Amino acid sequence: MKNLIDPKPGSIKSIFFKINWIIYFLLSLLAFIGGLILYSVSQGNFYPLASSHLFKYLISSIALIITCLLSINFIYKTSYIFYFFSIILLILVLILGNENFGSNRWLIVWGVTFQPSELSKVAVILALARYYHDYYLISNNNIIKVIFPILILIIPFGFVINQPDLGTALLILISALAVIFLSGIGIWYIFFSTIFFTALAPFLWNLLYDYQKKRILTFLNPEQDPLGSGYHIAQSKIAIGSGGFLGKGYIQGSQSHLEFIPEMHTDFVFSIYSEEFGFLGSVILILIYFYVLCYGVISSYRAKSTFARLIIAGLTVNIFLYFIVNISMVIGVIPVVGVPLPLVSYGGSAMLVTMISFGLIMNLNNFKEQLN
Amino acid sequence: MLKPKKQNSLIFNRRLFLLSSVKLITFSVIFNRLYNLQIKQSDKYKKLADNNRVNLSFIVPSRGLIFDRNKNLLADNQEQYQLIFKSYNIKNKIKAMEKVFNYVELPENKKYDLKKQIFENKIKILVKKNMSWNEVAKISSNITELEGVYIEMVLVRKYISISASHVVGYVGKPDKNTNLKLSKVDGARVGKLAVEAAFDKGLQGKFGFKKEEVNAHGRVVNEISKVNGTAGSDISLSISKNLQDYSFNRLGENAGSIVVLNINTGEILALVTKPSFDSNDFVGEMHPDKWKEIINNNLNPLFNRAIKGTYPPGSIFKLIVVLAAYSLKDFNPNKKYFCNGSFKFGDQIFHCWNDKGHGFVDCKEALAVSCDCYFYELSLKVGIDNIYDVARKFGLGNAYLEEIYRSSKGLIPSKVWKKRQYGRTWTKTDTIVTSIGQGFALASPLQLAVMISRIASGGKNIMPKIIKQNSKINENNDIENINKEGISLIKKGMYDAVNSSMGTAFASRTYNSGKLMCGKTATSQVRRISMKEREEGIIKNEDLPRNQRDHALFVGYYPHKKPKYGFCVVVEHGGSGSKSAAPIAKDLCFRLNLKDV
Repeated sequence: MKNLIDPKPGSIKSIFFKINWIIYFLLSLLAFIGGLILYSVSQGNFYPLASSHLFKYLISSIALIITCLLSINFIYKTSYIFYFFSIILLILVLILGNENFGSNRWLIVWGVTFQPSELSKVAVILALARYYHDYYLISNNNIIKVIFPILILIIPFGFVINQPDLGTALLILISALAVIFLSGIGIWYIFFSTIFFTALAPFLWNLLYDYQKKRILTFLNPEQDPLGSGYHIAQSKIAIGSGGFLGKGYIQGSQSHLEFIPEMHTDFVFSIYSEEFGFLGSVILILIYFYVLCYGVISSYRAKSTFARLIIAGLTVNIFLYFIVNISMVIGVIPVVGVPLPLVSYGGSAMLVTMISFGLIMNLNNFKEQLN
Repeated sequence: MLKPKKQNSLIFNRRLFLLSSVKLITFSVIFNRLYNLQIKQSDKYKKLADNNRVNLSFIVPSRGLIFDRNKNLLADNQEQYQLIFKSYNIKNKIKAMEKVFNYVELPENKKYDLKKQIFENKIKILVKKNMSWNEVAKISSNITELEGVYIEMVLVRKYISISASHVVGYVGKPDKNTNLKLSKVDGARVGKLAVEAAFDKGLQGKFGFKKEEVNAHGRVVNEISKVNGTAGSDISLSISKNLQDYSFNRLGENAGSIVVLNINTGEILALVTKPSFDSNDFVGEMHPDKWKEIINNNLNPLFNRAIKGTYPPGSIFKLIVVLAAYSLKDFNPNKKYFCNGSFKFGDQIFHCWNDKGHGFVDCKEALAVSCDCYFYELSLKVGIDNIYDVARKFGLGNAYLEEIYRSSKGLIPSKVWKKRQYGRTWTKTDTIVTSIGQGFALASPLQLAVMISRIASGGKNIMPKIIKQNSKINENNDIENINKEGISLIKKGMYDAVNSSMGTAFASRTYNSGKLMCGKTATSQVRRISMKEREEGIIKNEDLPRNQRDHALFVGYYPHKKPKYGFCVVVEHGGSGSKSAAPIAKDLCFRLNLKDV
């Protein structure tokens, strides 16, 4: 297909072909499923959740298209600026942030609530990709291949964990480490840092907040407190399990509609979906994610420059983490961490970041031109 | 050596492959988990979801009411509103509970206790019983603000009359050991004593149940299904509440018992035990102080004297001896016997209650004046076997209404019994002592009332009944092998005992000439009077400690023609029968004349 039509870069036609419409369709399907569940959660009301969700998707779609428009050189040049911009936003959160449920994660600009930590995930990946692209000639075993990247990731990580938002912080950390790993740094660094962090684990444990410790302990031994922290997970499992093969039917989920599930429109959105659409529905949803993520992996393999490859791979890891952490949490595989299901959960920041990420993936994947 | 770029590209591909494999594994973990949850264990989780969603609760049927014979309530069901707190699913339970405290008045220690129950993870907590209307209104109008709270209407058993507590009994919480199923049902009560216990099945009715859909906060969203139970069936007892109350009050401060029987039907009209307890105290959780008060009462209010209390029948037993004498061929009731105040048998001297003696008395007079010596002599002729036989025929030594009250059999001694009990043979001395109702013989007030009713009816085999009877005719058979002459003689004796100037109960006669009371007094000793005391003068009852004073007894029937009521009055340690028991019987007869009995 690609050989048949080879439009000139920059033309409208080229944008049209840069966008992978199959992927865009699947992303829209996810957002549509999100709208569907939000409609169900609001007991059959389109307003305000479902409508707002779809509106945000529309905005995010535009962001995707704009991202697709950017040239790789522009992205390359602005990646550090973008990184510093995200750090400034995190500092602003620290100063002006809007305290909510004991944590300080949101910024309100012109009445729109935004979570800068979501943006910093992309920013860290971009910054790291540029760094490794710039220094690809230096030996992988050279210490500067580790020192500066660690600095790049530790700053936003520190800000986010201070908010406190352990979930997002860990996601930033892991996707950044994935980029470092993919950059090809010496195997010994990986080996020793693994040992180092394992040894450090008990000290890190003490740094956790009590509620975080409790969540982890509850996860390890859910029977200990069935009506406390473990309660939500237990109820979520009941919702999913009772869905059976075909589900209880749309807007028929008893667990959700009788309010046994907390945070139905954000973190636990999958429980409701799974209760109402069953195993079949869940498999379809997961396969959509699987397809979309495969596209990311293949794109990173096909991309020509180190910069593009690392960005695509990093963003794919990031979206994968969103997805896997959220689903694992609601089915009780990992402790409760507040991570949304991208595009399906209600919430603009994660959706925008996901769409921008796919915009970047589509953009960089298709670039024939070399980085100057 | 590869160019760095080429080399890095190779490393990148290899590591990308590695990373993707890890992702693939996590995907398969999730698929596996979903498969487990939604396919393999789906049934288990469906059940759990239903358990969450569906609240199955029993509907306790309203317990059958207990009436007296005139449709007066003895046991009622009273509507009460109670506040329930379901801590299920509430994030901050303590805070939610404290909010509730704003709307109901509770003492501080109760509040503390309720909070403790939350910490103990009790799911359903009873916040307040018996709410006032004001509180119900306050809670109902603020119900949306309050989490986990709802008002429940319950029917609480209410007993109307303390005098009937021993007859009616009480209900209580089902016992875990004997009634596990019911003990799990909130608000279920079972009969624990007397009529409430014996007729529990009928009174209980049939439990209904309802399935309700509840949300995570325990609030009912809608009703799924409901099966109504059936209310328990009402019971009408044979007793008359008015007579019961009157008799209870007439006993005053004394411990004792009054039993009134309808001679025609065998229905028990009054079955009074004094002192009594309040059945209402037993329905809920009893206050410890209340329980202490009952337990520490020397008179033992929990003891059902009318049915389980046994007393030496005393002179009343003389009636039996006379009836037994009629089985002798050569018995002549008109033969005079000279009483000089004592009776010598071997080297033993038996005293008459009247030291001076009664002079010449025939059988009828002996009954009227209650001469002991006459009966000492007569009993030796009659023998214990005959006396035992007749006593049993007239209802002594027999337990009545056993399935309701676990009644006492009393005791009518016999040769066989003494041999078995003490391993000694029966002696004539035993017969002499038994002839005046002392010694071994024991009878409950109910038994004595049955006895006097059988005599008054002219020898009908009257069985006492506690349930109201529909037919008013006497369907009882005649007692076999009974000498009617004997019965009419002792009836005359009893007529004289009350209505002749020499009678022991002359002071308590009823003046209405058309309707006269007949009866027999008894003063039964509970201690032995020693020779020394007899010489020095017998200590008066008033000077003895309570538990050594004589029991005062009176049995009688009313009116003298076509007797309708047979009764027994026992005043425990009340002194003499003619002074303590007979006046009560007299008042009772007046009361029996009133229409509301």
